Amino acid sequence: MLFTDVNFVYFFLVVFLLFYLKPLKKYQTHILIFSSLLFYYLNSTTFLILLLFSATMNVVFSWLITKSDSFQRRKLYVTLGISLNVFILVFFKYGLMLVSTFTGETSDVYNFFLIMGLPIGISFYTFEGISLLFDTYKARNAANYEPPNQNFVTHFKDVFLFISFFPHLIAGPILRANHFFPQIETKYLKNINWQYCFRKLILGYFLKMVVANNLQYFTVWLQSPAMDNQSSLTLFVLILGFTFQLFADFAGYSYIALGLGGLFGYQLEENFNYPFVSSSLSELWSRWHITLSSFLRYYVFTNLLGGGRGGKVASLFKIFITMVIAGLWHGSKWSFAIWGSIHGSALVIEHVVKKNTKKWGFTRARNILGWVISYFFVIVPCMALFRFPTLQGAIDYAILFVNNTEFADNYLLITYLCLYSSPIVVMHLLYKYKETSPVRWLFSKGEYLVYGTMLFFIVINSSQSSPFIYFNF
Amino acid sequence: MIFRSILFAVVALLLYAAYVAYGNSSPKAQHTWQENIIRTQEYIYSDSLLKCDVVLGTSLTDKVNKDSLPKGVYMLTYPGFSVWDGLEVVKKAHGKPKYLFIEQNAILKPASPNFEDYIFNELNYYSKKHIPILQDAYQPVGQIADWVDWHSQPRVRFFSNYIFNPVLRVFQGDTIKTIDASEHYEQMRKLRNAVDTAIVRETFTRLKKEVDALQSKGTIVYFFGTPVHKEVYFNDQSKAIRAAFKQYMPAGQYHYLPDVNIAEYVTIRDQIHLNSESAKDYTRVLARQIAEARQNKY
Repeated sequence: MLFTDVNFVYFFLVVFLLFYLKPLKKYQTHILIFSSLLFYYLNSTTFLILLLFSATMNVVFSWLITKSDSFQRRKLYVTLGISLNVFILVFFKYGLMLVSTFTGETSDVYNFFLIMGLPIGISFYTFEGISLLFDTYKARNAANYEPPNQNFVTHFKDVFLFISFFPHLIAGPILRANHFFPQIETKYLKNINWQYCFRKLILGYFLKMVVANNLQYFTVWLQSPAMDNQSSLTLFVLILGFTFQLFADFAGYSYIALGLGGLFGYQLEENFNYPFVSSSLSELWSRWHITLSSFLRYYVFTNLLGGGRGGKVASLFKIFITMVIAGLWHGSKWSFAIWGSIHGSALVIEHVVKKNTKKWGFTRARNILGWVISYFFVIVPCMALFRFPTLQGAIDYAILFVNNTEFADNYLLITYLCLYSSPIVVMHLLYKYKETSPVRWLFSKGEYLVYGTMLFFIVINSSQSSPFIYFNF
Repeated sequence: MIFRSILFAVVALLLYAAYVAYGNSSPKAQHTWQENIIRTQEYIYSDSLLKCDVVLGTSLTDKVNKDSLPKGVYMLTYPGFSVWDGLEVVKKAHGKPKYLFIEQNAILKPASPNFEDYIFNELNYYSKKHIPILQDAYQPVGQIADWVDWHSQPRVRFFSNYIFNPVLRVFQGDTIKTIDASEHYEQMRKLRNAVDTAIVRETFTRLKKEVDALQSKGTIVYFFGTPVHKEVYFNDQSKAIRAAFKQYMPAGQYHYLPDVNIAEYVTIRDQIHLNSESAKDYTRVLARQIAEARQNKY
């Protein structure tokens, strides 16, 4: 059951009505937990057991950390808890990749992992578990620590809601405990920010149903042997279209999650901030999948690897390692590690170049050059590693792209890709020029034109509902 | 803001409905999947088409020229989809074909996920039935694509020929590397050769049940095979399918159009789709066989 399915509308309406029903006010948390587990069961069936285990484990360890007076014990609990989260992630997500690497694809163990499949949303809820345990540990060790006034049952409910809350459960945004927990309280219909929810839902559904779901029928040409006879330009526009499809798919999901969360009185963290206006890779990573970037920056780069400690070279190496981990987070294939390595190397080069050219001036020209290099030499080419199931597929694409200059361009395909990508270009241009008077007018007086147009296209130009790409991550 | 946005969308929809009704719009498919949807919506929302005889098939039969078939025959042939999708459409739309022609070749291919739900879920089915502009054939992007394509072609051609390709040629080097697609075709060959007896049994048990149910309601079902390359025709899977048809639905009790001589037809490289000349030849043969079947000659 996807956010774009008709069944989800019925599901949501029932949960929403029950949630705000006066006699059931004191059961709001229960209603959300139960409906979230049901939502997960409908998407992932037996893997619900894994989610229950993961959430319960995090309840227990975070409770033990909170209640323990011994620093050594707290350290033991946090280490054990995080290790278990990492073990679950590695076993269920990377088991197949590791087994195929070390034992080949014919062993029984390989077949076991192959049949088992990937639990939906595992990368998201295990990261949230890690965040919960680490933040609890940090807060418990702080000098000004004040013990929370709650019993185990309340703690249990809060943690379960934090991990399983259905708008973000399957594909994020990755929540931080210290942002979500303070919001757990009785919610009232009158407090809903309807305009905020309307904006997020319309933008989210437009990006997913109109842009991403339509683009998928054109980017389907990015596979062998269908792409073998496409011209270089067509292949380039195809990978560009796939980049926009990926953005629309994931950003669309995130905006819908924000809108749905808002309807239940919870404000989730923004996950995208117009990434295509970034003039460098480091800026891109502060605008694209923000909650993952900030997770990796805080927990992995700063706390696990030690951040800027150890000198400049060590710091650059840590950036590289963090990006390899970011790559592997996206999928259990070595091509994702290569994707992370390329981004890591490019980030390292960018840091060095930026530092040494800071005094040169020409800021505008450098920004434009940074934008061109970031997109056309790193981000878009690397998308081939995302698109193709194997590394060989990406290499084949690169060979065809360079060689197929003599083939005829597929004009109609290029037209459709451009037409369906154009809303993303327009939304980024509007953001880029948001200080100019026409754009200011549009968003102060004519906002309804923007959202009305998107609503019109959702009704009349949507395509078939399909799983969100990030469900696989 | 919310109310005004909704109002604006409603006004835009009304204006667009007027354009579709009175302007020079025409049904337009943007891609193959949508072509299948449009063909289906045309069928299920038309009382007269629901009475037509129907040909169910995949991309193999879709090569046939629809306009050359006898009158009163509608083709639910779906490139990329399965015969089972068409069968579900005929059942759910309460179609009343007197004759139903079912392609045999790819009978083991399962129905496409989500297709049936997209067509028949209550919201889609009734809204698109009663408000025709919501049907996929009239999506605004499809309506403007040809116009945009026509006007942008000279600019794209200029960019491609004088800027993009010359820059890329700098990187090509002396020897052009090529992609070896033989592995892909080898994989396809293996896939088409594989036979899962459990799936064969399950598929044919279900097919027999469906066909019996249709025949009990007065529909006469005919099976037919489209010509393919001899290597495919004689592979294990094709042989298993033909054997299963004989076993589950023997010729004496069920109807078959006469087999065609595959040696007279030429396929494209994939060995399953006819080339354009052979497709024309096969269209003539199929049209004649359908006409004769309707006269109960087989």
